[in-house]
Amino acid sequence: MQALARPEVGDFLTQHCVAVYDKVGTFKVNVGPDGKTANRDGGNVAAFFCSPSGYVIHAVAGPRTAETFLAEAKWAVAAYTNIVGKRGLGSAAMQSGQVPRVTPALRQAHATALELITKPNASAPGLELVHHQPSPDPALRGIEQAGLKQREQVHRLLKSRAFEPLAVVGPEVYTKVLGEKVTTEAVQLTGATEARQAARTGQSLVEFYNGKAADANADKGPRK
Amino acid sequence: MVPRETLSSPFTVPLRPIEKGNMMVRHIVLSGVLASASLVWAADPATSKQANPQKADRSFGTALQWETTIAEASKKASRQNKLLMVLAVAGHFEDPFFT
Repeated sequence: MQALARPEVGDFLTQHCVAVYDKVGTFKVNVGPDGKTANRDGGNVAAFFCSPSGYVIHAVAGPRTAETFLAEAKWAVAAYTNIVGKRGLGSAAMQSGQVPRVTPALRQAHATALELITKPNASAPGLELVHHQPSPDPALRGIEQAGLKQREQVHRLLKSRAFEPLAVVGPEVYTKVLGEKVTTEAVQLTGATEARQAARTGQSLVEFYNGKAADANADKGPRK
Repeated sequence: MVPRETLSSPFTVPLRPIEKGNMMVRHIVLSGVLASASLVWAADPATSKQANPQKADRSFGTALQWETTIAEASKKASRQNKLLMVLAVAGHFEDPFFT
């Protein structure tokens, strides 16, 4: 996700979250005869904001611009902090017995956000985290519109399923909202011989090209 | 590159029980942490730096650092009073070509 490379996104996430990633899906990639051009088929990404013990607060399903990703991250942090703060609960020291005290309020927050997306109300608090400023780059408007639809789907799901364990809600989001399958299958490479060779040896393609260049073609420099 | 088998899947593996208030679990975890700390302190200073994965840059082209496993991330989030963000990807996050 390009959004994660932006400093303002990184700063916010570092301040409020501990990040981890995992491969839950797959995609196909066909490498062209030049060994570089890649055509991809399938694959997607989702970010799940959870309590430390893995109860899902919010999910950002699909690619986002930096602006929209940041807005959704802020929404998740604000919604959860507000809910646990009002109930005098520590956001991290969530006991299993306290889950029922958080769940209804969090689901209501999703219902409210869904309503704000479908029926914007200028005086509603937190509107800027649901309806944010569009990206200045017109080329990103398509991603923003698709992202808003995916966000609507996520709020619709989580207004009845928020604060369930990630192991339960994660696959729902990944399969139903994104239309992907959860699998441990490796990324399927077809096309250039180099790409197949790299996959067979377990090297990254960059490592493979660098190694090959050093061994056989040093005067031309590494291929990337 | 991180061995794939060290990464537990957030979609298939239940998350840790430490926040359920089980004192026995806390005791075992604490004992484990202390034992690990002792090993780190006892290690040769010349090799301990290599053995500490926390020192490595784990940004993978993003503007933040990523934990190695969901269990580690969960513990750290609890300790630091932060949320846990799990990025579910289709490819291999460490390698942009396969992400």
